[in-house]
Amino acid sequence: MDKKKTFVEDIERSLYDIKNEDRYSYKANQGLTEDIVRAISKEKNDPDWMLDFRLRSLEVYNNTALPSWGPALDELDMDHIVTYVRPDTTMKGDWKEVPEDIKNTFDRLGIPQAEKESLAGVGAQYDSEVVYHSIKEDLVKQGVVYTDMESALRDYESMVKEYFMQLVTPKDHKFVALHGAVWSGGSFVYVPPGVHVDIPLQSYFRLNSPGAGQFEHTLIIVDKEASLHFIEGCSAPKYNVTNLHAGCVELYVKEGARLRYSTIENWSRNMLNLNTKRALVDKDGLIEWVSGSFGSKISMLYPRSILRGEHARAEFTGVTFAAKGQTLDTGAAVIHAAPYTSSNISTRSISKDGGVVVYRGAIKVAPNAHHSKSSVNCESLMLDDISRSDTLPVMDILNDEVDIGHEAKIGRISDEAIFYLMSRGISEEEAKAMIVRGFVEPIAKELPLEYAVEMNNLVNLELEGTMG
Amino acid sequence: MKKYNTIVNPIPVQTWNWLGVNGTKLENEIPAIGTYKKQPLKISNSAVSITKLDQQNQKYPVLNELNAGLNEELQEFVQANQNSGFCIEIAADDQLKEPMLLQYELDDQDKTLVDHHLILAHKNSEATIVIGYQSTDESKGFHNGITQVYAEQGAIVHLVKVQMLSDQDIHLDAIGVFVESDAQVDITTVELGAAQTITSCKTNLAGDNSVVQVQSIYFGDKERKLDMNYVVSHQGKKSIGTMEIHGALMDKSQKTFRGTLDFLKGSRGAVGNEAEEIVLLSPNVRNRSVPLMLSGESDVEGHHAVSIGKMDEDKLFYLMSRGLSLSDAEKLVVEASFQPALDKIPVPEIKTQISTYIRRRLSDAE
Repeated sequence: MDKKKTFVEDIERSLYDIKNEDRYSYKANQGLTEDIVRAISKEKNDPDWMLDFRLRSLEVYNNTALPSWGPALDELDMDHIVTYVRPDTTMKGDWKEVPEDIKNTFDRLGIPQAEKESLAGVGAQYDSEVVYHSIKEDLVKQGVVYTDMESALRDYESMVKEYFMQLVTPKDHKFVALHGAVWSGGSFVYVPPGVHVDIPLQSYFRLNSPGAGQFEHTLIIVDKEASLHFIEGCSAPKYNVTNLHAGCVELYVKEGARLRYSTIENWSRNMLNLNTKRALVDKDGLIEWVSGSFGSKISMLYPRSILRGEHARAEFTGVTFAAKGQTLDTGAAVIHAAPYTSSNISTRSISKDGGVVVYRGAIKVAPNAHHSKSSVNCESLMLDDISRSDTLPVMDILNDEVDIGHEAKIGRISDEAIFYLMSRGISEEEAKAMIVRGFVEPIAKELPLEYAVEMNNLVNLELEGTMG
Repeated sequence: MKKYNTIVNPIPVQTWNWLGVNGTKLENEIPAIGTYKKQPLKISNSAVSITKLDQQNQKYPVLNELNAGLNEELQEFVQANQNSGFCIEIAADDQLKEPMLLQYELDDQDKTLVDHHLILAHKNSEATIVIGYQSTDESKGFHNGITQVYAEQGAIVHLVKVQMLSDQDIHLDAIGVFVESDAQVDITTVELGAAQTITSCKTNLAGDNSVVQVQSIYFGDKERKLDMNYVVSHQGKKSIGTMEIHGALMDKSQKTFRGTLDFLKGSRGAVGNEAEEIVLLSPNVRNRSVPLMLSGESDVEGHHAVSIGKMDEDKLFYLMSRGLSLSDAEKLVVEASFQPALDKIPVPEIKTQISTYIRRRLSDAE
């Protein structure tokens, strides 16, 4: 069993761990100064308003303290983080033109294959910039825009200016201020009114450069009565220096529109993942978050949905699996800011080998949001007693015409369940693995098939160490 | 008069500051503390040693084991300004069926009360202690107190605290409990009055098979502010902790309840349950609920649930179909939700007082 454990871990990890030579056409100096921010802005040919925005954000960053709550971030030393690395290529529309080593990386991650089989568009980011972008022709004809943020800033400047960091403002917290100052890369999506994008779009973010930060910005606008499924994937090889990810996702769901935003995050375990995601949902709109957090050394990630139109809805389904050396502080927040809004949060957390998992959540019902409903369900499973699992939800209710329910459970795999499965001829290890797979099933079933398979593989990979 | 600007009732683990639940501010100045002249001991028990607990008393090293107080500053304040307090010591194997009663009354003569009590239940003893706080006139009163309970092996203690102070009063109250193996402490708290109420209840299930059951009811009306911070720490193996909280909020009242189940490493086989049910009766209330569950031990069962909303319409409809008016039906539903806690109060007069008080408050609102 031990042999298999090592064997599986080596093979599987290597998929994510292959490091390419750190080639780049431009690399910012380490640290964060006004000169560096100006240099990034110049390198990216920003319009003047964006340079101003970056400099204002830098000022906010310098005047904002680290969060007084959550995991300790002592190891983050901005003086040693490179905030911008432009890969040694321009963006391509054909994989054949993407440099061999970069293309091979994405091949191994299965991106071009998935593009052929099950996606309507793909964006692939390598370090700080997008190296490949494509979208199916029929979507373009219907007016759907799916491009990298740098192109969007050039080609759709007025729309970007109207929405960029208006939902998540630099003053929200220190790491979005940082993002505002040094952001690069990311995807821009616009779905025109009434258009249904039936097949998902996917952006994949790969950080190859050691000691670098990735600060991609994802801006999605789903216009009235339109619908979209967007998938985000992230990974990086492991280095022995700290890498930083401080991305920002802003989602605008207009009247009657639907957006599903799925993420499988598998950053390497030297990564600080301090990501901010937010959705603003208008009348009758629906935001669905599906989130799998497996990687990184420290994660702080709490997608927030603001339901500002009547009958707007938010659904959040998440699984977090923390193993040795990981502190994954994740959760969700919903602001009910209009009448008849509803939210549903369902999470599963697993911790093992000394991993720390935290569910942090908030439900706020504004005084005007009568007839709001919210249901939260969090379950945690601890696989050993050197790990930790904490649940920290808050409900703040300012209206009496509400129906709010919250429930959380914590525990371990019951001996009875294992005994029952073993009595049916299943080995103890397999019985435990089956129970864990069953535990995350409510999340897995929300993912497209191939991602559900990837998540199951990640779960199995993690379990090999525990059960073996 | 002294203004305290420190944060009281800090949450065991901090969260987002924008939610405003990491702690609370004491909004009012603390007045100069005078003497408390009345005799609070209403029902005693000859088998029990009841002595005055003064702040210099070093006789009880167990006090050091008991974590109580809204924060360190106020804990020191109680120790320095105590004007009433008893040590109630129950001898080993003494099982007292009759409750003891301490009743404090704030009025123009006794405006300030700082009380510090220690209930020390020796091995296999059993006792029930009721402590009440009331106002007999409308003068502005101030109460800050600490009650500590130490239950030795196999002992059973039931502590009931009932607060029905007047609308201007300040009520600051902290309970600290230490439970040895096979011992059980039941805490029943009733928070009905005062302009600002800040309370904490910290229990340490130190021994194996130790049990704590917290039953609490609160009723907020007018512009009352309640802030509660309850923590059950599971340290002993197979320890059992329960928190059952029922509340009703109306008018412009505001309430924050932080309830924490903390499973410490080594508390194998521990079971913890927490449930808070809140009925909202007016559109301008504010309810904040923060049920935390912390675990460093895998072999535990923890569960918490919170339910917030208007009164169950099916229940109201049923009662109204039986001929009750809407307001009578509402009163009955609120009272019914409080009943499990009221049933735990062993002094019939106090029970009646509470029921009358709640009914009057609900009627005033009509």
